Amino acid sequence: MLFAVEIIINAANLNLVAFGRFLPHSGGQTMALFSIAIAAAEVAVGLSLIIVAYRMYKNVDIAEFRSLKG
Amino acid sequence: MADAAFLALSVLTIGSAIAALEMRSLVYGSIALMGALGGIAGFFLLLDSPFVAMFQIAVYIGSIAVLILFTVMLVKRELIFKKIEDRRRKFAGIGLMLVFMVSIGAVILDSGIKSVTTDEPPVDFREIGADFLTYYWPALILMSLVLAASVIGALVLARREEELTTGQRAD
Repeated sequence: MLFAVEIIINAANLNLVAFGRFLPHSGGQTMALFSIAIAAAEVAVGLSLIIVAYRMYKNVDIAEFRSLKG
Repeated sequence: MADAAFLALSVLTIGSAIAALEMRSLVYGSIALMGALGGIAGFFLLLDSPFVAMFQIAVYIGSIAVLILFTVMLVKRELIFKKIEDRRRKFAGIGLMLVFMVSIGAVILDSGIKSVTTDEPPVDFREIGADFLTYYWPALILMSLVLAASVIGALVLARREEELTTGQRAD
């Protein structure tokens, strides 16, 4: 699922840069850079959540997670 | 020239993306994800934005893909998912994708963009740097704070708590 999120974020970045190419200023590329940085933060938190979930359930299959209690 | 490069990059990116999602093994999937991210970096080069391409390679391929690979190797031993696939859900996904493609295509066709080439000169990366430090400086500071908070949050989440609660350290 994390892979899918990453691919969608990349598609959005590609759209930003591609349509920003039609603009005379650098807005598209700047927004793409911000988006890449925020995606990096999201991946860090997501992967640590995966590690915590694995420690709790000994599994990374998301269909097996029934409870959010610590 | 650009057309051949565009076709090759499209095949590489879309093929690797499909492979990353369909591969049973998570390790091969994350390596395929690296290929897809590299293809996107190539697209950025084709779009005359080498700075974003460099950033993409440094951040995505250099850190995120490697981080995913390490986590996958750290977390799972057999690395194979059970096949829980719903046929109806798959067809619903494909149908939703087609509807989305048609609607986005209609918007693009209606938007008045008549050609895929543009006369605008490519934006210099010095201009991007100047924009970051002048117009976008609050967003830049906020982004660095968000990154720091996410790193601290990840560390707090992934910390082992047994050592703190039991206090039975070897030293």
